[in-house]
Amino acid sequence: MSGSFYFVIVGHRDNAVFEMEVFSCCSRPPHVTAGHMRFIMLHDIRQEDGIKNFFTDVYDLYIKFSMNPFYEPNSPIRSKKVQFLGQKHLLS
Amino acid sequence: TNWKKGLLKTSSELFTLTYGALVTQLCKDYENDEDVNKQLDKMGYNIGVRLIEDFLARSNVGRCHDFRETADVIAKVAFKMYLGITPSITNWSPAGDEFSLILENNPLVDFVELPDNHSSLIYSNLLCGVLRGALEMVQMAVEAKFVQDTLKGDGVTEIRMRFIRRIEDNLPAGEE
Repeated sequence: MSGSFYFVIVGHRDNAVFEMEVFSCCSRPPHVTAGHMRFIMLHDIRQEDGIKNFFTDVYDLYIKFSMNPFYEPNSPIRSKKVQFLGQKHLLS
Repeated sequence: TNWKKGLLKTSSELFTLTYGALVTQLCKDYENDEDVNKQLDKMGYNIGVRLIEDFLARSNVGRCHDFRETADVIAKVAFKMYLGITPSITNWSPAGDEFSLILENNPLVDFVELPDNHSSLIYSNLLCGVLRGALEMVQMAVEAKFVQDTLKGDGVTEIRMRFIRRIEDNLPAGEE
């Protein structure tokens, strides 16, 4: 199934906390910023289950990430795991 | 019962988060990892010299006759009582004065990832201080140190315990 997805986590000041585009043909390195979150997905095809599972897994990951005592709020998040989850839930 | 399990989970997360907050605050207060490691050891020592009373009262263990018994009590009774884990005991020295505690999981480090600029930090060093302080109160001078750490990429966490000497005088519980 081909399609493209744009996933963004939006902070309290409407800033993009985490952005990621998932293309089926090639992968671009995710551009990430940090903050608190609303999870938003823009997509051009229906993929209800995949998106729901993706959100659940990313949310779990985010919780674990924010429990790290060394994580400074508003510092950049670098996570390859989210891209892996994107491949897993959105492109298969 | 379910509510007890819930409470245990909640308080163990709070414990882990509190310990994490302590370590990161020390990292901000001190300029280098070595000083943080020393502070954690010192704090652990002050906990250990007090905790031993509670431990002996609750566990009802008698006096240990040798270091092997001590190792068993530490791993199977003390760690279980206070951290809910039972490390395994391995790598005894031929003279019987050194052994390793292998921790397959360490509740102090749940969710923790060590950043690159703290590669010398011994995150759980408080535990070494606790062991040192507690054993000093039962007349044993020991050295405890981490030789492997899952936070640093090792497969397990290993604490090496070394018996230095028996303390003959009954020293009062001291603060360092």
